[in-house]
Amino acid sequence: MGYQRAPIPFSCNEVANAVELQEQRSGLETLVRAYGEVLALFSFMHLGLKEPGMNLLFAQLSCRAADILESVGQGGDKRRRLAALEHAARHLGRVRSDLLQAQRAFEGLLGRQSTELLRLLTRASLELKRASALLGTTTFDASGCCAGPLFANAEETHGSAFRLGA
Amino acid sequence: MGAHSVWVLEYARSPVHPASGVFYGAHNQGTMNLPFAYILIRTADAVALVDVGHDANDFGGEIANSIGVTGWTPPEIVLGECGVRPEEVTHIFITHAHFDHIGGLKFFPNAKIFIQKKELESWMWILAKGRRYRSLLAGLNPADILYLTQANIEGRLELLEGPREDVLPGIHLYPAHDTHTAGSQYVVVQNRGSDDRLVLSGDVVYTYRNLTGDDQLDPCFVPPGLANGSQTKLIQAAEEMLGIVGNDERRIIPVHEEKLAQFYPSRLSDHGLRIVEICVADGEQSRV
Repeated sequence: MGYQRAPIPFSCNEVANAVELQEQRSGLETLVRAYGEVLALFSFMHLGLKEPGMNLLFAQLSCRAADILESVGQGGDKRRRLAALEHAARHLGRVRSDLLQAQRAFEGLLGRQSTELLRLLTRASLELKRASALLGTTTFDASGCCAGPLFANAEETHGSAFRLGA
Repeated sequence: MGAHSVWVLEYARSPVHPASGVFYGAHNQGTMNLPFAYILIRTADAVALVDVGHDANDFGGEIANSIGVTGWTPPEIVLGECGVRPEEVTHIFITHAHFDHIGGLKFFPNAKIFIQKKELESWMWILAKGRRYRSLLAGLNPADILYLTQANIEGRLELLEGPREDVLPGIHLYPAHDTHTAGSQYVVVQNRGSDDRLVLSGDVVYTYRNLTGDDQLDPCFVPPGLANGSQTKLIQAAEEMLGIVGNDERRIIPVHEEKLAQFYPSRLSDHGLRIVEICVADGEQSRV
């Protein structure tokens, strides 16, 4: 008796919402960037807690992190997530939760080191990495990375090199 | 022969690195082959690394991809070519905090890490200034800072404020501030006698062409193009290095220099990566 494939009931309307899908993806990518920047700020703040003289910028970094977290509200778009993006959105929800806990920890633990704080930041970093992988984007903003813009333009060789007279 | 063995260990490379990043003013001169490497120093009592490469599975790998870096090989394989396991590394001297120099710290769980305090303070300052300053963040992987925090809690991080002589016997760290980055440093390895010195330059000097220009008979400093500091400071630091080695350019060791193999013994590993042997200590076996 031969193998018979059982019919799999499946229907998908999301691809018909290509514009909405793109909009939601773009929104989530913005969240990744925002949380990545907050994570960088908190990482430096944590490092600065233990080192004399390195906490001079603490208030500025803290304000900047607070501004970013506030600017992205409660996690961005409140519409129902399309299923294709729901998974990434859940990871980003955890990132936000960890970052907010870290923010509260900074307020309460100023001047003291905290392994709990490190645990929160490490977990947020892992969640951010998962979300960015699902979205197919980079964890942090790489647009300014070394020679990135040059690389994008291929930096072709031309006949007349500009040598500054050297 | 002397007290220290030194090897330059390639771990990845970019066949398409823009020449303008390596040579100031080299606009429209195309791309070049750029090895990515770190340096292993073996002494009687310590195993030290100058920089640690990056982790291809981290954001550092994403940066690397964006600039065409290929062939990343993990440290256990790279160091294995010299009979060293990552856990055996006792000291790490970070020349600067770009992803390809600091991103592999997690592979060395027992090493004490030395970096200039100013290097980290400068990144903090840039971050505090906000997104408009992000071009100055080029090459930084924030996740590396998180790892430094962990190392700090474990008591394995030492932030230096200026020079540190004899960090290990005969090994010295000197600042090159406001050059390639705000808190860059370089390493001097002194074997027998004051005239037997090597300078491990970090990215203050990418290649020998940075020291001489195109005409060996009429040398001219051509500083790196990629710099958060200034080209003037880069030239001053290069001159300082030349002074340390008695103007013998070949005793300055730039890790991104593909021509190192023309001046020192070397071999290719099974993974196609170049191992360059700068010097071998008394009693140590050659690895090339």
